[in-house]
Amino acid sequence: MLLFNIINRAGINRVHKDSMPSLNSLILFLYGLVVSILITYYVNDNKINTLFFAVSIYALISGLILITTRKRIFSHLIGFLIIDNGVFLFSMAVGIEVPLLINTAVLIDVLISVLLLGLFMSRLGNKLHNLNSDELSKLRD
Amino acid sequence: MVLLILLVAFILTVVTVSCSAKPRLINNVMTGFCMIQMLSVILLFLNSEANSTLYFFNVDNIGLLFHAILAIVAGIGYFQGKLYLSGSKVRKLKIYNISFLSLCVALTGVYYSDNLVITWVFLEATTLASAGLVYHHRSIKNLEATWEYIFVSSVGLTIAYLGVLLLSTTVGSDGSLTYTEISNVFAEADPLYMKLAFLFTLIGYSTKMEVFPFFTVGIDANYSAPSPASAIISSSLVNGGFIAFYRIYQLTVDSVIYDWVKNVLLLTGIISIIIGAIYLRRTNNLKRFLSYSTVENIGMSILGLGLGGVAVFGSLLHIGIHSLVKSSLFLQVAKLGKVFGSYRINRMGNYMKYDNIGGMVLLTGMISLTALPPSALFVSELIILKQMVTSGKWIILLLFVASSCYVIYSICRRFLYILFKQNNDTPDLKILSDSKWKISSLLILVIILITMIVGIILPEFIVEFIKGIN
Repeated sequence: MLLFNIINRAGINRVHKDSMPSLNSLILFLYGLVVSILITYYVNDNKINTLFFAVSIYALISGLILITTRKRIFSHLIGFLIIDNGVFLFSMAVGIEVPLLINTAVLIDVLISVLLLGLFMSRLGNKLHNLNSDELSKLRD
Repeated sequence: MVLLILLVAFILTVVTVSCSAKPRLINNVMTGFCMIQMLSVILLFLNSEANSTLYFFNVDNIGLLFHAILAIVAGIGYFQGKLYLSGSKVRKLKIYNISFLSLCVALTGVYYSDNLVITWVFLEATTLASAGLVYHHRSIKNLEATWEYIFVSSVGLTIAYLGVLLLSTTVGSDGSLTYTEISNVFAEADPLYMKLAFLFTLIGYSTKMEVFPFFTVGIDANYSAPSPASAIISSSLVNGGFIAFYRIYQLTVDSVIYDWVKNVLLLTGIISIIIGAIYLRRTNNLKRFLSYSTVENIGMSILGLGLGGVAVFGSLLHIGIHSLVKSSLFLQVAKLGKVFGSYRINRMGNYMKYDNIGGMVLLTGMISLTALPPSALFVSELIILKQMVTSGKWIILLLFVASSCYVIYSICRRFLYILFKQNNDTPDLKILSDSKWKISSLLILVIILITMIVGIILPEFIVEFIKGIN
């Protein structure tokens, strides 16, 4: 209920009409999955955990696809959070046990959640009525 | 010890600035911090013989060089910032000064950090500090620039973090992540992992270094931030990105992947130079113009690293001198913006007639930036060209020379127009007659002339100092 309330109030319940059609999007994500599996088999090493490695590479690729193919700024943020989770999974895949590194990965999560999502979404929401990336194209030469 | 004193000074200054309501007190405290920063550089330089390793920090030649440049640029940048922002509301002044302070301290952390992760953390801190500066003038364009800056920088640094993770696999869970420790075990590491790590860190730190592929972040940040802040962003922040990358480059020098690394750097460098040269010509905004010139010059430094040999010395000399020259030009452009009311190049003209000292700054800056003798950049570019010829990289040489000729033409044409073209718009005579702005221009002129003298004489102690970096 709470989530539906937030979605309705923010007005982000629809994908932008000029975004890539959903079938094309799905095919692109499928290609990403195939690429991540191929990369994992190419890198095939005893030291890495192949499941985590494949999922982390896929998370990175899908996060980048989401950022580049979507028009809504909220989608860009979700894409970034997916990349962030992919990085954390990558640290699990290569077997990092250094606490400093793990804490730094958590720092990125907290930073992005508080700063980007909280602060700038509200600022952008005040200045722009439709949070689309089309409206963020005033900077040019 | 000196770094601790700097940290304490930073905390006290931030607390004082945030609590005070009087601009005069804020200005006095900030001036005090700038002086403490300059003093800290002198003390660190004098004590560099002693073992000054702290837990996560190590004072070495390259850190000292960039810290000295930061102290000079921040000092003059703050002095001019006071003039630039006179008449601003107290709240905006506080946010600007706290962001300025945070950026200076975060950059000091990047320069002296001896740990892979701590360097990354301080670079992320510079993103946040710069955001406060970029969003100083509250407009829709600046909000877009700030949003893009934070978002793309964060994505870039997250990609760089992947590189950090891969590099840390070499030391295992018991080892520390200092550069010395990693360099000891680098030879036994898996070459594929090391190549990936290098590629990820190059792509990630390109957001800070202003080279291909993520150079657009810096362009828009420089465009939106007030010009005194742009001076720091385009010089010291770029140095911060460069030093983070250079420490990883040094790890690869004696490894099996060094030839591959050199090829990647040659490609990155030449693409950055070509992109800088093309976009330089297209823009009508003076700040974006200078930012694209930064892309081109850092591309040259990367090219020098890619050539190896004596070109590494040329690359380090190039980046040091370039940061002084570029920051000086940005500081003078701050006055130009105030005098003509905008940064549009086609609306500027006849500046030499209105302001002799400022005009001389632009003229000497133009000669320095285009690497015409007696500029010190001429010396560094000559060294890089020499290595290019010795290595037999003829295609790179051809592209480099063609781009440089195009850049020299673009810069000279634009600057000579600004200085001597007839202009019918009325400039702001109040700014032109203000003596404090003249003192600022004089200081900037002195900096550029010192770089020219270094270019003519090339003192032995500077050569030894830069050689000590390798």
